[in-house]
Amino acid sequence: MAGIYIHVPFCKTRCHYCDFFKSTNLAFRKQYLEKLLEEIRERSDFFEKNNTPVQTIYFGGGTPSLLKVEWIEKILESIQTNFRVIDNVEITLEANPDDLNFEYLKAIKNIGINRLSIGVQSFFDEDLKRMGRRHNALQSRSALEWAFKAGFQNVGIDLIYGLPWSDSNLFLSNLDVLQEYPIVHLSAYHLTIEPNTQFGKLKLQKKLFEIEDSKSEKLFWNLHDKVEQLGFEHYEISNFCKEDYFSRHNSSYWNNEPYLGVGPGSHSYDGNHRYWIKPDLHQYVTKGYSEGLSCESLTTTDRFNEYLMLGLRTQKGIDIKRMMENFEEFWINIQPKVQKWLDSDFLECEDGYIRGTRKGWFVIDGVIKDLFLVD
Amino acid sequence: MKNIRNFCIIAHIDHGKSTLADRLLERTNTVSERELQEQTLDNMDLERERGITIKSHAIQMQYSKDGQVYTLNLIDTPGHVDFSYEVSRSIASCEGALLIVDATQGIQAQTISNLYLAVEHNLTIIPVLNKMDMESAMPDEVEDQIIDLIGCDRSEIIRASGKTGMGAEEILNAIVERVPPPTGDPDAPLQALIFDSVFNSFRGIIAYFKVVNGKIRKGDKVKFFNTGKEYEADEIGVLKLEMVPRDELSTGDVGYIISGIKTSREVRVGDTITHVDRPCSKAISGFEEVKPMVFAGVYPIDTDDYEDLRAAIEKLQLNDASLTFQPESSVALGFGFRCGFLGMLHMEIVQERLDREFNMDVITTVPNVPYKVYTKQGDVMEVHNPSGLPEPTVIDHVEEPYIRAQIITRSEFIGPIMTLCLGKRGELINQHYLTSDRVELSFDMPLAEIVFDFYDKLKSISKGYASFDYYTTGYRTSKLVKLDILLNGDPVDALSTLTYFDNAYPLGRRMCEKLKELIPRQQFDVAIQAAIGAKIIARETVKALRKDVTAKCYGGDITRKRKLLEKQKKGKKRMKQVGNVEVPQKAFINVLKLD
Repeated sequence: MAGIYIHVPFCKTRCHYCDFFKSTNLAFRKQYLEKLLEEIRERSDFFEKNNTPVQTIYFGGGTPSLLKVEWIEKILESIQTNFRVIDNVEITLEANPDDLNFEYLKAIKNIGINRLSIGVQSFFDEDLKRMGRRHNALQSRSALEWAFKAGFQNVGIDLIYGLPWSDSNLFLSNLDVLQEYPIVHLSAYHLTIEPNTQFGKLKLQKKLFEIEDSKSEKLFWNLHDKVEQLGFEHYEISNFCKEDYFSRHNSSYWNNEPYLGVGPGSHSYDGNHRYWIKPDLHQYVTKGYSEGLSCESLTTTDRFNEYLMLGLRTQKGIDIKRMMENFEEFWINIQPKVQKWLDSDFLECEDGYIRGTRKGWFVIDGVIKDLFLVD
Repeated sequence: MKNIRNFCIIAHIDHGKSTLADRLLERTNTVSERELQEQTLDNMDLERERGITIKSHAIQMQYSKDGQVYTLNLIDTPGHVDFSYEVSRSIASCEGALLIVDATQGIQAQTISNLYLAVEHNLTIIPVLNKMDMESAMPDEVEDQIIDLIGCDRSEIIRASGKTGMGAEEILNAIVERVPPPTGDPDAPLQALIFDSVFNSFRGIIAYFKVVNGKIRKGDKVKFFNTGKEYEADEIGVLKLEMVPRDELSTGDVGYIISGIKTSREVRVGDTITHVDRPCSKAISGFEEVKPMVFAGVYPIDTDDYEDLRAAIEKLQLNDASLTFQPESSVALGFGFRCGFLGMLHMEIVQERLDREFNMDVITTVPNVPYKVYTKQGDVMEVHNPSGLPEPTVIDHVEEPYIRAQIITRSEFIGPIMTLCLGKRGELINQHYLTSDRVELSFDMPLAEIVFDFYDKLKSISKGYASFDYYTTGYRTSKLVKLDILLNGDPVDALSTLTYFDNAYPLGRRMCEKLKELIPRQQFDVAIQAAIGAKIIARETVKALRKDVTAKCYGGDITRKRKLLEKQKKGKKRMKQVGNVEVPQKAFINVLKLD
């Protein structure tokens, strides 16, 4: 199993909560594409060691839906040429509702995109406005209509909860849309106020605050209960899906599988090293990816900690058998601590997996920290 | 001898003593401008930063006037209440004193108490009005204060500025003309007063002294009167910017002696040096054994650093004889030391020097004063830490140290300061107007009341316009209890305090409130309780954390997120585990910073 991530670092405008790497200068798009194709060619041997075919391709950003169809096509062709790709590869495109129209959707469907992740965030215009989103609720609904009309089956939406001005019922009413459309995937993120954002500034000025954590917790479990009732599985802290429609691409991150990230600001992992390209669009388009490429090799402890961290964020939890195979000594070493969290009902053990409980999952970072091995 | 002038400087912190001293050194060519770092006399970094002189030094200048060359010995004095004994010994070595007063601020408490000391020792006082270059200078008003205080003539006051060099020549002139030369009998048996000592890693302890009577020669066999120890004077000399060896120092001279002394405890400030062969009949009066008045536990943050901490404290003690320590252990903090300090500032200085000079991160526990516990059996014991207090059933009564506090402030702040001091069990002894709007207040107070949150409070209620000085006056009977703090039911020994009974309830309540701020939220509720014996007198709860999870963790987030959590975990290592509760280091330090 292997995945390719394409980072598309362009946005028309900056959303007030977002600290992802992107540029609102769209002028570099053409040069970016050239360098990206070059990078795909030059890194075609990335998975050789793993000897595994590409199973997922993911256009993330930024705003990938700002790319013209023919460009997306070129990127996909290049991947096909340079990598071994399985037949029923999952190809996801992250999209902004206002970029999507029926023609565009039909066209990207035709060139192979088979999964959409639409950045809805909220179905309330008031929320969208305050978050600095450039679309409105009507555009989201239209985008969904067209997506299904264009023949997409694997469609997911993103929502944000914990908005300081909103309330629990208002947020939960967003979920009604899951009954109106055959949406199969939901990513629901609790608002994090990051320092270098518009919201971060407002927080410094004491004009905006995160909601109380007891409210957050209540929202989280209300969300969980309601979405589960609608037939979704809560398979990772912020992700829900209908039966088999989990994001194969994102799951590969959590299952410790290799992935190649291309484009400025992207990260790659080959099982032992993590690579990243400097988030510098100008450098990328003038000098290419290699100038900004850095690498860090992971020690066994690093890999153990990452495995713990990622595993406990998923609903399935940590596979004890896999732990014992890969990190026996470390795993045994932390057993007293694991037992302590089991005894206090923050963790539970079932069918060979250790996972967060209803008491523990929403405070799992504290548990992860405690279980980490550090020198 | 008639051309020697020994003088010291009396000044409040920040009144520009060091800068003015620099100008004198410059004028007398003792230091070239190139060598003259700002404030030459304070050669510890810490001192320079804080603008206070912790250890006193001495320096010799040559000054020509009317065809005569004079030797001027400036004996620098430490400028803080904790070091008043050391100040008194420096003063005892001089015949004159420059009274430096900031023309923008007027006289402060500390200036007064040191001035009284100088007057007591019959020193000639030369009043100097410093910082005359400042726009906010109020020379006439401050001169009035000085005249009121020492009864001098207005013409005797020299207007100066350390910054511009104004008045420096006049000051040097006045030192020669007004300060009398030292008296004493060069032929009498040797009597030299030790007023300071420093540790040098190559040469051991270097003691600074003034020859009061007789002569000392290189190679002489000498005896320190109070310790009774004998040494050979390997090297003697005078103090310029560097030490300059001499073969002989005579009555009135100020100099240093190096005699292979290894530890600072052998050299007591105030001790008398005399000859083994022809000893003086009695020591110079005024010698006192300096006793620490504030005790606190000092623990390494990392328990593995215990031995390193011991080595560091031992090194500090080499040039700081007033620092005492003995091993102590705590359930919460592991192994550490009970250290004795002269006062709160001394404690802060030691803590900071441990950090800067030895890179030792330490936790200092709640400080307390030494108590005298009288048992029913009739024994007396001195208690330096809360765990040392015997069971209430064996105690007959307890005594605590008292101080005489002197506060100088503007009259508008009398009310609040009175309230503060009376609230701290102070008794007003005297209220004296220095000028129409400056008043000197004297209180008798328990020392224990000033070891926490007194300075800060005094500062804030007087908007910084109060200066404070104190000296200890003896012991009085007290009602003492041990106040314990419990976290989720487990007592935390390092947070126990000894307190006056009537203060226990409010203190317990405030400590609980403060700890609630200091202890971070954890995965479960943390109950904070204050107790006297088995009786709970206050309680607060730190509510459990309800959200502690990252929203997004995808390909690009993984390593960063792991590193962040690892970093937080390492930060947690600096927390102390008390039962199942994690307590940050700063909680132990800041718990008494109550407001």
